[in-house]
Amino acid sequence: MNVLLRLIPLILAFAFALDARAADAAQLTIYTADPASLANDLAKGFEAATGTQMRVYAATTGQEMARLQAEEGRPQADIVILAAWSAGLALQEQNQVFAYRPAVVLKTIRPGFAPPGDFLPIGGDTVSIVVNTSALPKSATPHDWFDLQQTAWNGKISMPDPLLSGTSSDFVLAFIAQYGNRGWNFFRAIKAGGAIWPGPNAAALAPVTAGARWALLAGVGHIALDAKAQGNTLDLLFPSSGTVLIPRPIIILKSSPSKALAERFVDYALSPAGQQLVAKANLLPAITSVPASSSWPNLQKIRFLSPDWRALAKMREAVLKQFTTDILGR
Amino acid sequence: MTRGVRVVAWAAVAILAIAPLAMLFAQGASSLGAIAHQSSFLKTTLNTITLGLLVALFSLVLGASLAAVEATMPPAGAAFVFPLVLVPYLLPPYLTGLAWNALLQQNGLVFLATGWQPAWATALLYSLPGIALVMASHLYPLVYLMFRGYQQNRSARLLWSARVHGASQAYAFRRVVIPDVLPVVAATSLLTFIAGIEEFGVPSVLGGYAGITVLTTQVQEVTAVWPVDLGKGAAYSLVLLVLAAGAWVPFRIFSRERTTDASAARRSGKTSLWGTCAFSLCGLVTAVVPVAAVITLSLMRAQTNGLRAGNFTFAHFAAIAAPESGARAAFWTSLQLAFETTLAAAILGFAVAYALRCGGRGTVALDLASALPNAAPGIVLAVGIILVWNAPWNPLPVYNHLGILLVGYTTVVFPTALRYAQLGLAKIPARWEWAAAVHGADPLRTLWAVVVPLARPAVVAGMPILFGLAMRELVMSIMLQPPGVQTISTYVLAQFEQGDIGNSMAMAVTGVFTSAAIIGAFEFFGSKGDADAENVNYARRAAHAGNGIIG
Repeated sequence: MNVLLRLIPLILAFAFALDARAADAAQLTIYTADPASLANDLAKGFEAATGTQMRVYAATTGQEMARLQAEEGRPQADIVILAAWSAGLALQEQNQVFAYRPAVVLKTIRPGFAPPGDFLPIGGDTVSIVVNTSALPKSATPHDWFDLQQTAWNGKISMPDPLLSGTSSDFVLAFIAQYGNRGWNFFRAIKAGGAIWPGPNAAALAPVTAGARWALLAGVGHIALDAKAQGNTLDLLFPSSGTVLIPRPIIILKSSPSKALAERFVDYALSPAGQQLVAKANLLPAITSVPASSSWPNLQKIRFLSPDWRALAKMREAVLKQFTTDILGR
Repeated sequence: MTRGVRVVAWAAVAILAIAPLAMLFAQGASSLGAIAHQSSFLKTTLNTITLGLLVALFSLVLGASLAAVEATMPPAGAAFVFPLVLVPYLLPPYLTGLAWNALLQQNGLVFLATGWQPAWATALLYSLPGIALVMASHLYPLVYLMFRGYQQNRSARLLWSARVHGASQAYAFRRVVIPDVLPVVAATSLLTFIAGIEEFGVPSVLGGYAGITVLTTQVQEVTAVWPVDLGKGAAYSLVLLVLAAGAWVPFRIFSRERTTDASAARRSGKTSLWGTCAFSLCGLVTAVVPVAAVITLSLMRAQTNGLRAGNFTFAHFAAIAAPESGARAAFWTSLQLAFETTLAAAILGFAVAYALRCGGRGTVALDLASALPNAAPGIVLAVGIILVWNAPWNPLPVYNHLGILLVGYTTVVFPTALRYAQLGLAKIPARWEWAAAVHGADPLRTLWAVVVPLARPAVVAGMPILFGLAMRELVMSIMLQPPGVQTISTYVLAQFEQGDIGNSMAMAVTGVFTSAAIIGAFEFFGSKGDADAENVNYARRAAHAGNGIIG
C-alpha cells in the first residue's frame, strides 16, 4: 500500500513538472491557421535567431477563435495568425488586438494585402473553384460561381465549412455582401442539389481528389496547389465575375505579457527570410520583394472583388449564424 | 489502512468524475432552455437515439451470432482467428470511418480495385444505419465476449432436464434458454447503446458527408468552433448524459453478479470449417479491409490518379519522419501519455476496487460515483474537465499543459481499469486475508503480500487494453489539446482536415502498428508472468505472510 500511496503523488508531480518546464525562459505561444509545417518552420527560424521557446497550436480559424474566446479569463496566446481578414477585424472590434503595424513594414507590403486594420498580413491566399479534371466532364466546366447551380452539378460539389475555414468564411461574407439575396439563393440551391461541407479545406478537397465530387467550391489556393504538386489532376478555375484576395492577419494579442518579443516575431515573419517560408508553403507572400511560388497562376489575370473589409467584419457573426442554420441545418 | 485506500479512492473519483460533472450541471442547467428552442435540437437528439438503437441492434446481431457460431461450430486456428475479431475493438473508430469512406465513396478504393461501384453501399454509408454499421464493427467484439462469458457460466443441465421431462425443443427454448439469455441481451444492448450515443469520431467523419448531426458533434461544434457557447455545450452535454444514464441504470441491474472473466474462456471439441470461415470473414471485413484501405491511402502519391502502378510512394512516411513535420513529437507524446495513463488508471482502478471490496461507510456512494465516468460520454467529461481546470478559481496550472491530457485519458480508461481490478479481486477468497490476519499480519502487510500479488494477474491482463484505448483516444485529445502538443490522433485528424491525406494515413498506419506491436509484446510477456503467478501456492503465500516469508 505504501508503494501505492507513494506512486500517486509521483505521477501527479510528474504531470506538474511537465508544466513547470522552463517557465523562466522567454516563451511565445502562437495560434495559427497557417499550415502546421509553415508555423513550425517560422518557429524554428525564430528559435534559432533569438533562443525563444515557441509553442505552436495549429488549427482552423474557427477553432482558434473558439479557443481565444474560451480562454478569455486566462489568455494563453501571444500571437494569433488567422486565415480570414474579417476574423482579425472581429478580434479588433472586441478590443483584443495590440496595434502593431509600423510604417516601415507597411511600405514593403504588396498592394491589396493590407486592408484597414491594426495589424499586418503574414501573407495572402485566394479561393477558386478547384476541379478534378479526371472526373469533370469537359462540357460541365464552370466559368462562374453561379454555373454550379445547374442540375448537372447535383451531388458533385464539396465546399470547406465556413465555420471552420477562414478563407471560406471570408468568401461567404464577400459573396453575400456582393449578391445579397441572390447569394443566399445560390447556397440554398447547391444545398438542395446535394452539396456537402465535410470540414475545413483538406477534408473538403478529399472527395474531389478521390473523384467522388467534381469540384471544391471556394477552395483555398495553397492546399489545392500542394495537392496539384503531388501529381493530382486538379485545376484552379477563377470565376469571371471575380473572387476575393484574402490577406491573413498576424496579430499580437493585447493580453500578451511579451509584446516586445512578439513584435520581433512579426518582424521576422515579414522579413525576406520569413516570407520565403511563406512562399514555400504556397501562400502568397505579403511583401513585394519575395515572389510567389511558381505553382501559382498569374495573379494579374485574375479578377478580384474589392470588398469593404470593415463591413464584412460587422456582418461576420450574423452571416455565419444564418449559414449554420439555413444552409448547414445545424 | 483501509481508510487510506478509501481516501485515495474518493480523491480519484472526485477528480475524475464528480468535479467535471458537477461543473457541467452548474453551467449547463441554465442553458437548457436556450437549446430546447433551437430548431435543430429535436432532430439532433432523435438522430442520437436512433443511432444508439441501431448500433445496439447491429452489434448484438453480429456479436451474438459470432458467439453462437463458436458454440456450435468451433473455428480452427484459434490462436489466429480469435485475436482477429478482437482487433476492431482497439482500432481508432474515426480511422475506420475514414477508411470506409475511402472504400465506398464514388470512385472509391472498392471501385478502383474491382471496377464495381456499389451505389447502394455508398448511399448506405452516408446514412444513420451506415454510420451505425461502422460503429458496430468496433463494438461487436464486446458483445461477443459477453456472450462467450455467458455461455461458459450457463449450465446445460437445466435444458437437458427440461427435455428429459418431455418438453419440446421449442418449449424448452422458450422456458429455459430465453429467460436465461435475456439479461445478457439486455446488458449488451444497453452497453452498446451507450457506446453508440457517446461516439464522436465516426459521426464527425461520416456525418460531415451525410449532413447528419448528433449530440456529440453538436457539443464539439458549440464548444470548439467560433462563436463558442460553453453554457450551450454544457446543456447539450447534459442531454447526452441523461440519455446515457437512462441506459446505464438498467445496465447495472442486468449486469449485476455477472462479472465473468470472459477472456479466460477455454474451448474444446472438434473444429469446424464453417466456424473458421465465419470468424475469418468477420475479421476480414471489420479489421483487415479497413486497415488495408488506410495502408493503401498512405502509399498513394496522388489521390486523383488511382491505383495505377507508379502512383505508389513511401514519400508520406518520409514526410512524417522528418523532424519539422511535428509527427515524431506527436508519436512520442502519445506513447508517453499511453504508458502514464495505463499506470495511473491501473493503480487508481485498483485502489477504488479495493475500497469497494473492503466495504464500510460510503461504499454504496463510492460504487455509484465510480460508475459515473462509465455512464458519462467522453465528450461530456471533456467539457466538464475544461470547466473545472480552466475555471478562474482553480490554482493548479494543469489546463493547457500536457498534464490535462493525462487527466482526460485517465478519466476515459478508468472504468475499464476498475473492471479488471474488480475481476482480479473477485477471484480472491476472503479466507486468504483471514488466514493472513490469523497469522498476525497487519492489514497493510495482508494487502501487500496477499491481495496485491493475487489481483496482479487480472490488473496486468487489463493493461494492454488500457494502453490500446489511450493510444487511440481522440475526443479528449482534440478538446483538451494544449498549444504545442499533438498526439497521434490529433495529428492524423489535423493532417486529414487541413494538410495532406497521405501524411495523415501514414501516421495512422504507424500508430496502429505500434500499438499492435506493444500490446502484442505486453500479452506475450505479460501472460507468461500471469501463469507463474497463478502457479504459486495461494495457501502457502497467505500462511507465510504473517511470518514475513514471501514466496
